Amino acid sequence: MTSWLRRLAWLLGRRRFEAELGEEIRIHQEMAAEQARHEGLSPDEAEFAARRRVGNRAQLAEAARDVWRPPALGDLGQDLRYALRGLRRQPGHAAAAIITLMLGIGATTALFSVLDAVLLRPLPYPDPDRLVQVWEHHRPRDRRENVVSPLNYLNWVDRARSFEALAIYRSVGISLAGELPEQLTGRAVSRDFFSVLRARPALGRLFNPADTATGAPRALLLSHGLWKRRFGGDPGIVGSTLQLSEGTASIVGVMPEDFRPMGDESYWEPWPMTSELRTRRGRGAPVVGRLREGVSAAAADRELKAIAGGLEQEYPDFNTGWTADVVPLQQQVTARARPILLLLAGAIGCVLLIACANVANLKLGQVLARRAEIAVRAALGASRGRILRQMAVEGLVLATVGGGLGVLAAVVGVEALVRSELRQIPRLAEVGVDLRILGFALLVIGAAGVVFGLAPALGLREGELRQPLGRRGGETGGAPGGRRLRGALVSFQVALSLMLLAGAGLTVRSLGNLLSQDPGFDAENLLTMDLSLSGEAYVEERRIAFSQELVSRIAALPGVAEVGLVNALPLHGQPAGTRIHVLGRPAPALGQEPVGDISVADTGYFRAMRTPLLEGRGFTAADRSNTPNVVVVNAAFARQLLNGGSPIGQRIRVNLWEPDSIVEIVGVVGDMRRAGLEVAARPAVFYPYLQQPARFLSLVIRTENAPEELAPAMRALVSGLDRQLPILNLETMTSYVAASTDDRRYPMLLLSLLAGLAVLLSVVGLYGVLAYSVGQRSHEIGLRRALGATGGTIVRMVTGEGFRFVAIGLGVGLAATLLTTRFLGRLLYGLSPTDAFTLALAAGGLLVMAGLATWVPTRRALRVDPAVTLREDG
Amino acid sequence: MPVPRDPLRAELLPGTLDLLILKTLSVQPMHGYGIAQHIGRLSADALRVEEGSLYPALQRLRLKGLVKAEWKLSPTRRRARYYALTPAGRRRLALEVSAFDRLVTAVRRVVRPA
Repeated sequence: MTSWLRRLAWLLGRRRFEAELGEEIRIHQEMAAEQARHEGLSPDEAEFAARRRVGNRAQLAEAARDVWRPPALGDLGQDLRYALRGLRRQPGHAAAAIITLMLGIGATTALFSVLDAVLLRPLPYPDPDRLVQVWEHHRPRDRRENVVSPLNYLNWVDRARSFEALAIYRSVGISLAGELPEQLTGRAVSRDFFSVLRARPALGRLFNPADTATGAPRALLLSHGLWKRRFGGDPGIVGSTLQLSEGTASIVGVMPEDFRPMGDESYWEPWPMTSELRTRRGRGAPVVGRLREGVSAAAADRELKAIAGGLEQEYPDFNTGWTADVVPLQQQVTARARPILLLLAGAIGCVLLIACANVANLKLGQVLARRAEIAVRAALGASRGRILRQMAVEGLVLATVGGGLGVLAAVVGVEALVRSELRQIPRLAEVGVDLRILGFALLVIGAAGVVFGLAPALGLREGELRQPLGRRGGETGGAPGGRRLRGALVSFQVALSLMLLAGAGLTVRSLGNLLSQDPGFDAENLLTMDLSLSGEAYVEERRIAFSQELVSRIAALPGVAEVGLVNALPLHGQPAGTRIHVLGRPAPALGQEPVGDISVADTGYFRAMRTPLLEGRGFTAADRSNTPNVVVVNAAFARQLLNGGSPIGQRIRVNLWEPDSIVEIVGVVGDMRRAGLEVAARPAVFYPYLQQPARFLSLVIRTENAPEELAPAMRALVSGLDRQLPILNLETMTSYVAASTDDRRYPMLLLSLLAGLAVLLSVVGLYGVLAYSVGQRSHEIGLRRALGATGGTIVRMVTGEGFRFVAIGLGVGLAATLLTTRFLGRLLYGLSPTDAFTLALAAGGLLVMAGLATWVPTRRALRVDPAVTLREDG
Repeated sequence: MPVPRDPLRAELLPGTLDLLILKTLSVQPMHGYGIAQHIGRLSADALRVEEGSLYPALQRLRLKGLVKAEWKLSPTRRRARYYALTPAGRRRLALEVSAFDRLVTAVRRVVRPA
């Protein structure tokens, strides 16, 4: 024990120890020389004899010093110095290894962290496995996940026994008045909403029945984010009154930070189940529920289907064809993202494997290349254990530097992903760097480095360490075993890269196909802007007056060609739809009625969008509330509901604003894609804005120049008309259209990124193998040249070796690609998962990259001078 | 003029160097060169202590707390590091001596059976 204390003292006083030891040995030598002089030697001879006796003073000091070093750590410092020196000597190798580690560890950790948060972590509510989402389901049209009719919901609450509580909610919005008018999205929730999620407020209270009594002030619960952002986290906020453009509201509480069930809501308000809801009209609100203890989701699903069957009998007009589905909430939240996330997980795994192969390859090459150095060190007395430790330390140094950068990259990557607020990734806000995954990636890649760094040295027996010092004859062929292993690693990398590259290529081309779909309008030079004319100030007449004033002022701006308005832009998801019946046609069976999209527009809308008027007329200023109701339909309407007959003059019955209202068709316009670029247009009915002045408005403005130049003028114009009115989503139509493909674009981008990474790593791997091989075989190449081999022969020899690995990789990769690309599923559009052109392109691209990787080593091979080789052999 | 190496000069038995050093220092504190000379002289030059072994051995003994080192002036007014036995070193020497005796007796019985 005390020896450890002495060691510590030695460690602390090392400088002095070194000096004293050096001095002691010097004195020793002097004494020896003195003695020799006494014995009759000349001063020079005496000096020589003494020096000979003491030997190498540095070595002697080293041996004495070694005694004091802690046994295992003894030469660690030296190992570290050697390792760093080695890295500096081969900056290319070090950089390749460090970049590989950084990208491998960083990218995989960042993406896996997202996967873990989204797919694996339970929902942030107590007893999350008892939470379910309930949908209505229209069997004849196989329309699943349909939102629920409030009245059906009330019937379920009365009749179902499987649920502790069922809650219904819908999206609502308010406008905060004041200096900075702001439109907020919230949810109106039924009484049981918070008890279903077992949520408690961070401040204040939840809603109580008094909040929905007539005459009570409008009650709001704020989200933590809104409270922080808009109210500076004021702890005294509860009980204060908010000025809204819709009137006033009282704040009853603030919810905790982690309570963001839908992700986009800033506030909640109570949704009273008034008698108004008690007419069976429309399905419009999602339902969540908490299962009773011990009841499975499947059992609840059976019970609710039976109840829905009863409701179908009781209310055939409304419920024929409709049933209900109970889905575990966790599954619901991740269902849409799951296949794509799993796909990306696979791609990440591939990149991780490629990175491992690269590190292995680099280490393997390095160790083989350093056989000579190892031999020299062994000859100078280094033991096998010492050399192995040196190798391990070098691996660890690389792993530490690369891993450290990798951790940094992971943190930055996760941060960037969270910031991006991709709508397609649910629960993104909960994502953090997952330490387990970080550890896993570090371990896998680090192990690859150490194992492959040590393996060749382990394979050497003590006696063989020094062998390369001897004849160089055995070396002529390089180390064929090592080269074959490295070649196999390269083939493996090429195969995985091809798979990823082909997958990325398919998604890129799919997106291209999608964007080249004609959406039914011309998105170039269009500016869009949303307004919400909510509140008591905007009664119908005011809305009409305001919108007409706005449209005429915009039209008068310089640079504006056309302006129009609509209540829902295309490509924004399925718009409100309802059953439509053409008068004079046989009534379809219950539950089989055709469904059409219903929207409100003015005639400028079609002109601004450049959607052609095919037949009849557009709306005019004469289509007002006191004139007969008219509508414009689209071409799909004419095709599907009238078998191609002319719709002009036909009268239809639509159940939307007023039950059984009858309107006349006066015009037909071209089809616009509404639910997404990949979804063909449904029959659509447009009402004139003057007859149905919706509160929510989207303006479309066709400009003569770049549309974004008009944005400031728009802001000024709107605030000139109503200073309190917030403008929502002011953007160009092209970016709006692009955003509609986000759920394909992001996976495509990620996949492309991963594929690029894979190709890069593989090319580095290939280059490493060939460069090493040429270096090893320079002797052989020199001999061949001396014996008359032409440059062509040498080029064939080197590139032939490289391309053999690549060809094997491409073959294997092609088979793997054909088997795996079908998992791209929804990401593919307009081409087959085995699209020959894309596969050929990917393979071709890889070949080109492989060619580049081969080029440098080939040139080096050509520069081998046979004269030098012959001299070496002489 | 290089000193010719005597082929008869014995290699030290493993472990005996520590014993020889301890024994030498039990006479009086001494510097490294003195220890080597002393051992050589007493063994009539039969035992030659290599400096490459001597100094690591001295450090080993220091580490074990059996000897202590101190800079002093030699009788020839030369500054040198003197090594001296510690009480622990003295106890150890007794143990080592008896162990060595047993070893030598045993080896002799094997090599020269009565």
